[in-house]
Amino acid sequence: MSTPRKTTSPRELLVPYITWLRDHCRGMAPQQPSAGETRISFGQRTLTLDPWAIERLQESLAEEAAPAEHCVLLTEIVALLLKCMADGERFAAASTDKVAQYYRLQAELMLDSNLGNSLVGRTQREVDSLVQRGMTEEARQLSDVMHKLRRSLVGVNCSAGAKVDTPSVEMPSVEALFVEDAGHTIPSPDQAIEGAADLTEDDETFSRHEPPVTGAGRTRFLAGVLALALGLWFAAVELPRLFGSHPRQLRFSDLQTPAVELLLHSRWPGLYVEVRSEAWNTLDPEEQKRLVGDLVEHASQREFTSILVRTVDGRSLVQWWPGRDVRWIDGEDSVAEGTRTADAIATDLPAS
Amino acid sequence: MDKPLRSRTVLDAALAAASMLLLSHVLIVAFEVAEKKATVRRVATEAQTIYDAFALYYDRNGKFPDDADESRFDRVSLDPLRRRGYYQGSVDYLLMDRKADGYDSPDDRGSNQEFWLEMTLAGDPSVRVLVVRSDDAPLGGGQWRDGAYIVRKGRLEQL
Repeated sequence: MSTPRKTTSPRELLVPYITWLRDHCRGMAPQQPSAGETRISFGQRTLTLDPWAIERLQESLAEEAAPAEHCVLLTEIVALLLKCMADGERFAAASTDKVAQYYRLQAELMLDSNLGNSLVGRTQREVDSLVQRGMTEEARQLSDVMHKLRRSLVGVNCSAGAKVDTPSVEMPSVEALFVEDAGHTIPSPDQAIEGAADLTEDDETFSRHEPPVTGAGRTRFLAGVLALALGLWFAAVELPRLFGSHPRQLRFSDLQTPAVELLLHSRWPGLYVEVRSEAWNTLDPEEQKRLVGDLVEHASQREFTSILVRTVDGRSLVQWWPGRDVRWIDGEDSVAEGTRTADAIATDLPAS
Repeated sequence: MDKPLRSRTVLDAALAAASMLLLSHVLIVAFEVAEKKATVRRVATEAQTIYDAFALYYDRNGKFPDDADESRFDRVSLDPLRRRGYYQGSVDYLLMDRKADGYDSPDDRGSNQEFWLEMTLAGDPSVRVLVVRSDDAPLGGGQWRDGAYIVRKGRLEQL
């Protein structure tokens, strides 16, 4: 189930900025039609307004009388532009390392865009109404401001990375239309919008956007899956490899200068040694003992538990097990325990 | 696409790819382990069959196949057991070098009254098989053994 979204009226989102405008305009003298443009410093930016706009603002923000609808709309448009400036500055300064904050600010810009689109719609209806009532000059001025807002929204959308339907060639930003660098630092845009953050009343048109589902959750999930896979891989693959049994090998080159050529088959824990009959027979008993002793020594070091020396044609010659004497088997393969011939005697090799 | 979005997407893709790689490796290893276990079970069954074949051969001939005379035991074809119909399996396909490591029918208790046959599994050389009725089998440790055995991690287990 989805959680109901908290909704806030667009007007309420703009309240901190309207309040700031009211405070700012209160100290300004009444505008004359012949007066030049007025610059309003907001944070480190400046908003330039013509005398008509200043006059309508003052009319709208005056507390004693109910203002006309087009004056209210103008006020909301200017407040929204201030909000866009503040949000745009914070978004531009946001660090991409803090992903959650980055996306929250991006969402704020998208919210500004939605607010602006709503205002454009309402302003268009008011322009039509003014024309019908014969107030063509008011309609023209308001229409100009509406078009400026629309172009500014294109810039906001570009900044927020949102798709826009308007052609995107040379889209002007809010700053390009209304703003010049100033260097003033009061009031703080962050302080100004703090009041809007807690507004949660339901209203008809807008729902305050929650920060969009960011990729952070997905990344955390994938990182968890990776950690799980890593653990599984370590337990299933690496641990058996580390602690598993490794068949040992004994090679001919490991022996110390064997007197004859031997063929070693390491089948751990058993070792088969093959030798040509003729070569074996050329060795005297002492040489045979030395050879077998060398084999036993190296095989013991590698934890072999049996050695069988046999001729290439399969005749067993010598057999060894740990803890037992070396067993010499005669050429007829007929040695009985305890009745060995001279060729089948137990040696005095140390038992390992 | 925005830089953080792109970098996060790349990171996510890398995480997903690494996870899939590890999991697929685990699956491959698990499959190999299962395959090895199945092979060990199969060779164990074959070892029992071979032991029965030797026993039957002994019952009918009064001795085990020799390693020297006309009934010489062949470590590749397992003749004369196979040739004379005592054994019809195909254990050689599972063995290292497709042959048994060693065979002997010692005579110290009478002519060809004992035998031992040792084999190594091709897929896992740490697994060895001993089919024996003798005290001379290398893997038997010099003790009397009778039956089919398997050696895993250096330990002898009777089947």
